[in-house]
Amino acid sequence: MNYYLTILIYIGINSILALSLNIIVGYAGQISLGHAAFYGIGAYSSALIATKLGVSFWVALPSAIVITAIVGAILGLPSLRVSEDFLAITTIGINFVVQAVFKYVKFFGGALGVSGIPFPSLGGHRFSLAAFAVMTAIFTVISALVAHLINTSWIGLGLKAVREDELAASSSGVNVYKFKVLAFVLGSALAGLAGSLYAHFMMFITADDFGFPLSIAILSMIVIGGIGTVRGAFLGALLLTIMPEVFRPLSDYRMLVYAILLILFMRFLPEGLIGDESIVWKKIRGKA
Amino acid sequence: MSTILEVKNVKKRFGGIEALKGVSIALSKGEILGLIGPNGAGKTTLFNCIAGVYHPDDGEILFKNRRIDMLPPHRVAELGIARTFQIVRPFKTLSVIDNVLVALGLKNYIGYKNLFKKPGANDFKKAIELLKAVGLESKKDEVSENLSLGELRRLEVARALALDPEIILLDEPYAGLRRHEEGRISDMIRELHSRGLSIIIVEHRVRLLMELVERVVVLDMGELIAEGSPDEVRNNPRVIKAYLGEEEVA
Repeated sequence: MNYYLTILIYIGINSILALSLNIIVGYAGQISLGHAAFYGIGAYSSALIATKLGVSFWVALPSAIVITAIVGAILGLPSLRVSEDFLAITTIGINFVVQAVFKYVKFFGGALGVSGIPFPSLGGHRFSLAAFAVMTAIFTVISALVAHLINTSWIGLGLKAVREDELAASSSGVNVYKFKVLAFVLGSALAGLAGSLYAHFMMFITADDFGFPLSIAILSMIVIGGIGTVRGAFLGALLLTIMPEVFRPLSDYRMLVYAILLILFMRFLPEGLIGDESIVWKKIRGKA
Repeated sequence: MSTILEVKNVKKRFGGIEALKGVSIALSKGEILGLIGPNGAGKTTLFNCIAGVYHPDDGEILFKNRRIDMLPPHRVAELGIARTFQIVRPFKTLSVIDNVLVALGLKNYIGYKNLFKKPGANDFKKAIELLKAVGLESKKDEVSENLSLGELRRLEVARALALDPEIILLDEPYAGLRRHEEGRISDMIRELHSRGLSIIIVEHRVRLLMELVERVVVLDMGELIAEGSPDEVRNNPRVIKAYLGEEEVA
């Protein structure tokens, strides 16, 4: 039972991560290969606030979201100067730098990481695993609602216009700089939420939890599910979280499998399994 | 008629090339002005200066007596100057109606208050009206990259009109079109004119502008070389010289 609850919690956290990257890459079209950095910033913020200031999870979580959003705005600034391949390389660099800072700066716990992170409790009662799973599910649903709201409101239209053609977007009244920074702020805020949940679930984090391979895994989730859609982010997170569990022998080759899947999907199914223009989704909608 | 747009002695250079060497033109309210010239004359550069994509190195651009030459494109669009592109730039993966909705959202992108509001029934109604005006209503749910070039040009006009502009800049609206589509674009431009819009059309073939515009300005090598009615301009020796090498000016 505990095993399944743990998997469920991972699926929830990964779904929030996929949804958050989807805002930056899927809606705004700003390729980011360093999303684990934002996840890590959320986790470390929450962990350090809880352990060093001795506050509860309920204070640490919102603080982590705000801190990650602010850092996201700053780290999103390169997207105003560089785009496409260059932005991809820049974001990889950001991932490595952030990870190195966590690993080598003593304040962040260095190679030992941060331990003793409190498991959430309410009214003096420590959460059960089931309670944590329910809470994660609630945050996942909230994240999905936020992503859906963004997707269907004016901000979503503006972000997608920026993704498709920056010059045409600005000529249509969209402030391209503002919308790019907004994408990074919103995406980072959700990544911060996921990071905080992760830190307080594991109770112990190290810099190695937030490396470049994880960034690729998150990107694989949205590409496989269907980039730019809420349901695609969910499906991708679900599949890539369960897969290594079901295919235990494959577990060691997880990164290899992710990379191969990423290449195959980009080449043969760029719309993902259930993206808007994918064959499966068109069939479901009765359009094919 | 009062002047709505004034370009005063605008200069723009790119590295060693002087694309605009001090160009001055004025557009009256409700006028259709033709801007012609051979390839590389600086027509699109001038458009880009007016639209805020480039900032002139020297000179001023005034819209309703207000300087706009240092503003970014989205601010120029907000003020009421819309444009189309020589090489069409649709939001490819978005539906036709979403392409128009993007521009209809103009006012909602300012500040943060309306960013998370959804487009309302009124916005959809307006978008459909605009698509009707350019004859694309039946394609509203189509992904825009599936449209033909002629349809994309009309979609760009609908998108520009969605900004509710006072001036519309049309950059070679006829480029690459077949004869019957050319007629359709001309009809559309007349319709825009009858709504009271001020229009500048870039085109390098005078023939197409003959029945549309009263006044033509000719640009060559970044300089204004002639101005007048299409007929006057066609017979101007400097214009003929600028076009030399082409079979005919008309």
